[in-house]
Amino acid sequence: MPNENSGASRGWFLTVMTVLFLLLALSDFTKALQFLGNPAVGGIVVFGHKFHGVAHNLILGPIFGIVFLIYAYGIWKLRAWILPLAFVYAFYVPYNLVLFWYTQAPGPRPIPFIVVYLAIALTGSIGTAIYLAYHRERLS
Amino acid sequence: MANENARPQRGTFLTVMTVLFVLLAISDFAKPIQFGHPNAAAGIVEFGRKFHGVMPNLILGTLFGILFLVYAYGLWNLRSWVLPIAIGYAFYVPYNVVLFTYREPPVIRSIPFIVIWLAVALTGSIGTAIYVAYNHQTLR
Repeated sequence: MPNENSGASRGWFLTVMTVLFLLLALSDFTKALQFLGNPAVGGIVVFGHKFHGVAHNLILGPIFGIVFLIYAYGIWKLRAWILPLAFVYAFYVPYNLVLFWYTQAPGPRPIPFIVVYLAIALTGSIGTAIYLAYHRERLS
Repeated sequence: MANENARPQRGTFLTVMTVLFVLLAISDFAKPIQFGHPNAAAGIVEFGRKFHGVMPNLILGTLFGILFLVYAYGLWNLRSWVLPIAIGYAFYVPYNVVLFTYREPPVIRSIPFIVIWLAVALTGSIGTAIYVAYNHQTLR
């Protein structure tokens, strides 16, 4: 019965976010392979710094992958301990993006691409944090 | 009696944020004056673009100044209608900063300056939205 109730109260938004965080974890676990495939573009970006080299990506990728798996698990199970994680991640993503682009030359991406990319990134980070904060009584 | 009750519920964080939003409103109202003494940093930045010239700064500065006054009033009086403003602003600030960083050649600032500046900007936007969402039952 508790599982049936939690499924109903999770709602479509958190279900979609869980799937997206699983995909993000999968992407991070394979960062080293992505880097090998295309060293010019590949590489994990942490605190605005893009890490080049297989070893860096092999270490940092799984660490962030595990964090995203824990986050996805907590959202799926509606656990109260994800709130601090959600709040930190809500701040981390804009920090990461601003610091990354501050140190980079203007890229070849068109502005509409950046706008859509930001919509997904900020909904996943800020949107999830606000949603969880508003519905904190559902968490256990 | 209602006003006396409102103050203890508001708490330190929202009181400080209200004061900061009033200061932000004053800063935006004064944008055309700031532009009268142009330097590299002058001009209001909205939607990732820096606006030059007295007229754009007069129009946008006034519009955003009024918006911040409304926001500050809502926070001070713990009104429930501030929640959509808080959520919108939580997304707007990272959008604005990231797009500006992406589009404009950066003014030379040190990374510690950027980190501290972001801490203030994101606490005011994302932090306030999360706080208001978390405590939405105290709004009326």
